[in-house]
Amino acid sequence: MKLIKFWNKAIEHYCTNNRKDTDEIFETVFIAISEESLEKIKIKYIQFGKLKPLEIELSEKNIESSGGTIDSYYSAIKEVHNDLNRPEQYSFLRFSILVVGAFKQDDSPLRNFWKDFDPFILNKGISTINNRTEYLNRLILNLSKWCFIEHKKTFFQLNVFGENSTIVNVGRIKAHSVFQGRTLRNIKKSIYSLGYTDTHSIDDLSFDDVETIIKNSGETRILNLFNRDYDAQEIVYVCLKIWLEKWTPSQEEKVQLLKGKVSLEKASLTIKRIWTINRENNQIIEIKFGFIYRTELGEEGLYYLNKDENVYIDTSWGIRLTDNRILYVIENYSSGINLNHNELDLKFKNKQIDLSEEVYALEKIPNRNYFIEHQDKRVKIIDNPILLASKNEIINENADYFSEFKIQDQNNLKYKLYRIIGSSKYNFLSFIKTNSLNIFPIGISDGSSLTKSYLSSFPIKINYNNITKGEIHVLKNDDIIEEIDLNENSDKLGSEVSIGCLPEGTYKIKYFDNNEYLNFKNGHDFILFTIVDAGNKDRRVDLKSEIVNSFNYNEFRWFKPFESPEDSYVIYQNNEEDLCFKDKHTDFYFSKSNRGDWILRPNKDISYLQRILFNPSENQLKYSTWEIEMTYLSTQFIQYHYKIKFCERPNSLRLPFDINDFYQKNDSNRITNDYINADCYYYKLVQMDVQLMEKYPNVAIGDEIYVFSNKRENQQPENLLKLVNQEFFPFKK
Amino acid sequence: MQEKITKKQINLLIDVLVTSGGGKSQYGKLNEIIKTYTTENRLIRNTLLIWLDSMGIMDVDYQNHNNYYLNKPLWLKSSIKNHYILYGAITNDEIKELEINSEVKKYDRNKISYNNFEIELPDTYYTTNPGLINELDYEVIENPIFSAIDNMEGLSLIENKLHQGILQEIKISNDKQSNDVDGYRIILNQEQTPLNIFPQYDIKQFNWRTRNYIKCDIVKELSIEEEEEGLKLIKVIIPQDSSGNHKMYYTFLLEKSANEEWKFTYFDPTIVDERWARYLFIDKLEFYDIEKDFRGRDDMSKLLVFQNAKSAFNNKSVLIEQNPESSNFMKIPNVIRKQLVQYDSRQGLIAFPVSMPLPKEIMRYLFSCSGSVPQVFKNKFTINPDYNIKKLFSGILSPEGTNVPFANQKYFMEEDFYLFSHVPTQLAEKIFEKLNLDMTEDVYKRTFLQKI
Repeated sequence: MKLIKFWNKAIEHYCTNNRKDTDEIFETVFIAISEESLEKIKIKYIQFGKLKPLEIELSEKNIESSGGTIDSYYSAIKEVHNDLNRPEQYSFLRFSILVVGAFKQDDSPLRNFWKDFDPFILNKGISTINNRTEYLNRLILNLSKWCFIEHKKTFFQLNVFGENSTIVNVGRIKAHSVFQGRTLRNIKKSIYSLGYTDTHSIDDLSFDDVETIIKNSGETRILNLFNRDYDAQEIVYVCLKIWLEKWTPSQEEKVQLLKGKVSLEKASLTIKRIWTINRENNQIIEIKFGFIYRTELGEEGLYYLNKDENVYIDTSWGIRLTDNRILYVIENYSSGINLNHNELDLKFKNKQIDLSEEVYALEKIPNRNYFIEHQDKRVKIIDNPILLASKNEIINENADYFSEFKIQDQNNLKYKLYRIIGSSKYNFLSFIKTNSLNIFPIGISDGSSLTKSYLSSFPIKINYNNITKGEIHVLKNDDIIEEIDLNENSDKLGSEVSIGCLPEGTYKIKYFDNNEYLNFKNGHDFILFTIVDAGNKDRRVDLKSEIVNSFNYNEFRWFKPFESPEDSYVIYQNNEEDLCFKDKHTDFYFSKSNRGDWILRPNKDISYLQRILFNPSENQLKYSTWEIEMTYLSTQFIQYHYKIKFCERPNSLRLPFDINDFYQKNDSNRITNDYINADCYYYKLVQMDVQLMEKYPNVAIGDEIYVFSNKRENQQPENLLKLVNQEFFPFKK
Repeated sequence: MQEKITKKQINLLIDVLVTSGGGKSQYGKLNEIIKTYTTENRLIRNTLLIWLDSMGIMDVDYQNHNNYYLNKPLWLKSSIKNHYILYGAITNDEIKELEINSEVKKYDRNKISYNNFEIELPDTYYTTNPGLINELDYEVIENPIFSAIDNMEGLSLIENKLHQGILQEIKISNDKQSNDVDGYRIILNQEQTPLNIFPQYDIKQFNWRTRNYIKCDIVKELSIEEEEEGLKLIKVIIPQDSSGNHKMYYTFLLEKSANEEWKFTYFDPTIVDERWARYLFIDKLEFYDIEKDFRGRDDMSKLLVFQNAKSAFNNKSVLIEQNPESSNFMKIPNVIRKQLVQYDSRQGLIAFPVSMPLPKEIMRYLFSCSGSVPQVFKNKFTINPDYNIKKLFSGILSPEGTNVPFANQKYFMEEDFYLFSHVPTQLAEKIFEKLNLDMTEDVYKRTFLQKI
């Protein structure tokens, strides 16, 4: 195998495959490669098992003969640089040398990248890149396409500097060199120990927060980079957020990373200014203050932040921004009031209430007249419309004048509002329009998974995020049935358009701009959706008839009569050498698939769990490498500790199934199978404390148990064990 | 207006739920449809559901909004002479038929609006003779549904049906010296299903002053002296899955007499609407009548409150200026208790605070009187519970004890009230009776609208 081919493939494998050493799935491809990591990259690729023994032997020989791992890498680079006209070939390898160079220059400003890079490769006898912009653009375009088509991932292209910036290309390279897996582990540890995971979503970490986190992590390389200049700081800030985007903090990871040390540290919440702008409100802007929290602060109710000054939040008015960002408005806020002794035990960073700046960047909250003020100087326009509030008039082709508003209670203070429609700079603010095209339908889904399929009885809306030009076409059988001209979008602040009820059929959404249909994020130039018949049943019942029982938690009692399947979930402890699932509160949920056959669906709520001691399957058992600490609280309220391993994925078993043995909720069931597939999860005891050994002398380390359930927990099989653990010690015999 | 749900949207919601259930899911997609209308706002969602329930359109399970039943429409006699309202869920097709029928009229101002949202609710169709409407074959109920109120259970009966017991303390610590409580265990039903609650859970207690549940430290709240008495209404919220989307709510009334242990009453949602709990709680808080004290009637001047107030004045009002230390186990003055439900017998109007809605059965009775959703009005004369009740009269009492009839305006606040019309006196009397509220002559004869 040729060296260039070997190294290109090895780097591709290293950067795109899911890492076994972390449990994250990165959807963004970073080519984070330094000279030191080359050895690891080589070994990982060889161990991957895709190469034939002969190819491995040949590659090893080639590497050896060119002077070892590092030298062989540079000689591969030398070879690809002999032809700089074809960046589409060996793109991973080509891009990697740029990043290796970037790792070597942590101490110099971004603008000096080429000044340092060229001597570095010349020194290795590698030719320099002359037409850099074109070379890089083609290289990155090819990587983006390949990563999407081959790996369904996005190649990371930093967008903070905007298309026209002189350092945009350097930024794109440098961003890849900021983090590596092990650096990230220390950063996460620091985030846990500072208490950010309880209060902040990653999106809401400010520059100050990120600085505190990096300082506390002891990662001096990152800290130096962060403190060097504004450009580098921003790259670190943006990259960190992207690396952590898909990360869900968990108690287990916290315990593991902090080695059991409990951190009582609380992170301060940043108070944000919220502009409420409503045209119907006599051109007056009301200023409110609030903060964004990671989770819901309980159910509806008032919580005082300062009782004496009547400063409070009303949680029934929380505004959900995304899954883990909820905005709470503080009533009667004033910067002079101390909020740090409050009922919720939250810490706040105070905010000056006066409007002192000439301009402010404001991001709209969907469906609301609320605009959150941006803290950063660089503002990315992603999903929501961005407004610029300015004391003075602005003439800029990318700023559409909107209206002039007075600030409430400050009558001499007026701001002109502009909708920002493209990348531009004004005063100290710069706006960067991102170019990902995201348009999607909104409707009431018919319940079939994996496809976008909606009811014909409910009107369809189309969300077009921040797109302000071009046309949206809705097509049925390739005929355009609806054209929405976004240039004519009169109120300029919406991001949704209603297209009413559609008859049954298959539809496409396309986006038309500059005389062509553009590609969406998914790589296609259309978004497919179907509309299904709504049906004309009458689901009404006579008044005062029995109300559907709600889901109640009940402990399993052996002779409880069978009443209603959703009444309870059952944990059945089975010590027999036989599976027991007929008439024992088992509940299978079937529904019709798109093809019209009946299939078993995962249950959202658990109906039953059966723990058994024998292995019902002949398949080989495969455990995940993770070990989890568990605590069992006995009925005498004594805590016992033990550790388990859990299955990588459940074994699937075919169980005999006779429909007549089961109570049916839906008379139209037409299941013809005489079997059902059931998932069997398994767990192994790997450690237990002395008290537990004394309490259960016949349980030993290495014992395995099996759990049947109709609840699907493929991602986190440990969740099922936790349920059992609430009831009894799972390994009990 | 910040947020608005239009009538067209509501009609569509009901139509989709009746005809297709919003998909293949057994319980339909009530929540999903509401989400397309409003932002994530519990107050709006709950208000909407309370009214769809009160209007007899659907039976909603407040524990899980995906559980609901839609009711078949029927012609129901209201409290107005020769007036039948169409009560239940109607589809858009049925609306079309009703609109072209000359025998049918409609009330089209069913609307709830407060704070910054507005919800338009379905129109109420009515007729003087349902027998003439042949095309739509709906059942006719000749007796108003509120005639059934006699059979409805009242506070004391409901209390007897609920499971009660003694709160058990949980001590996890091995340290036998320590007296610290780590949590509590409650047995929920006859089947002995246990629920363990710990202070780190989301636990709130009802505050009658704000008429709202407010977060509390349960261990601190319950750690009172042996000889003290206590009464708390608490709500425990426990997520049922890791995403936290599905939650269970447990409502308990906790009661402690001097030298006894804490007892609990569990408001099982399958037995009783949580809103009964609030009235039961208020009912149990013994009240005193401050007005009578200050007016020096009878021999009440010997009472503690009067003496306290008098000594406070003599001591330059130190006591009066202080905010109350605990807002929970404070006796409710009768004047505030009277404001919970008010009735104007002359005009047949009944009013109660929005933040303390009446139990669902009563809401339905009241709606069926006229077939119209109540107006929301701002009562400017609600006594502001943020102030120590003694302050209300503090500014105007002279040291000699001569009373001045009206208290200072600043101790009153504005509060949103629901106002139902066409409520017969007999029904109002029964509602007061069921809630154990005193419909004294004071309340009965006064036209409270004069105050507005």
